[in-house]
Amino acid sequence: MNDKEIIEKILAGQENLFRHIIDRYKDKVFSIIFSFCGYTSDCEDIVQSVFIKIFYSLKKFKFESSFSTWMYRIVINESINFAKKRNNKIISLQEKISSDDDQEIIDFIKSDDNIEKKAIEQETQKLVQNTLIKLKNNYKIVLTLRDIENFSYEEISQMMNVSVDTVKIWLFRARKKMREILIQGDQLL
Amino acid sequence: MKCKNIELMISLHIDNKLSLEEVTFLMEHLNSCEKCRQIYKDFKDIKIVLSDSQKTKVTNDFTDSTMKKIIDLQNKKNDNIIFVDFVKKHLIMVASFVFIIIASIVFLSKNSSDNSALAEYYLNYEQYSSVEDIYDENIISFLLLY
Ligand SMILES: [Zn+2]
Repeated sequence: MNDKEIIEKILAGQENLFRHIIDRYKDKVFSIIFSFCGYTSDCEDIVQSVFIKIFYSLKKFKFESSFSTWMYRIVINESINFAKKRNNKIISLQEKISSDDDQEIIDFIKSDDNIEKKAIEQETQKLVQNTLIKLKNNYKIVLTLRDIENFSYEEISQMMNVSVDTVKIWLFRARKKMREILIQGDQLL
Repeated sequence: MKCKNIELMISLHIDNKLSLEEVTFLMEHLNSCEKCRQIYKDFKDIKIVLSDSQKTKVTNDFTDSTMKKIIDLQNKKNDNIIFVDFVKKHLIMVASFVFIIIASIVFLSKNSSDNSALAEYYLNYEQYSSVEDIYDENIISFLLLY
């Protein structure tokens, strides 16, 4: 069954079929939301509430775009809402990161010039996460969608409701910013 | 071309978004510019690190627990709907019930004013009865005279 068929059946009353939608998208949705909440809170609870929101919004789905594009728009909006709500917490987290984790990142990078080789190590994700979480919302989203979830520029432009050119610029700026944070004024990379 | 524009090209290149011509142009620049070469290496590393990260996934029972929450919410919603439907369906009954209550209140308050009339009657009756008593006494004394 494709998404469209599942949604039609859910709307016709077979609500239990929503579990297929959850199974299909849970990891991708988690990954987007994870770039916002990281290790600071119970990310899974937020992912769950987003899926509940998606379920209750299904009536509004007009089958004009693909279901996934429509769904990712909700996920992105909810992530940004989450970020706004947690704004203060994130700011304090950023301060914490600047003092502790940047040193950690710097030490990590110092230990080996080749980031790629180190990427498989367990700590990498935490470091990436802590860097990613510092980026502006739009940069966070484009980087997650492109580099982590491997969506095309066109798909990202639809999900974020912006032009492909904007996606190009945002991705470039996001990478540049990410690099700046990683370097932190030190020529480490 | 300025290095700033080259940086954007680098970002596009690591996503395979450049034409062959553009790639050739970029490579020529990278050969001659160390600064941009470093950026190219860093952007590539960042992309690799990102694509290798995010191994964290939702827990195994995520789908079940989410579905349970949705179904619980649906049931709660249905309960509310059932109550509202009940009220709607039995609107006439509910309305008549309310009417009866109001009518009884009105009746009772009206009754209480009847009660005062009744009380007045009893009061008068007492008077009458006392008159009767006097009358009876008179009869007795009359009889006693004979
Ligand atoms: Zn250059």
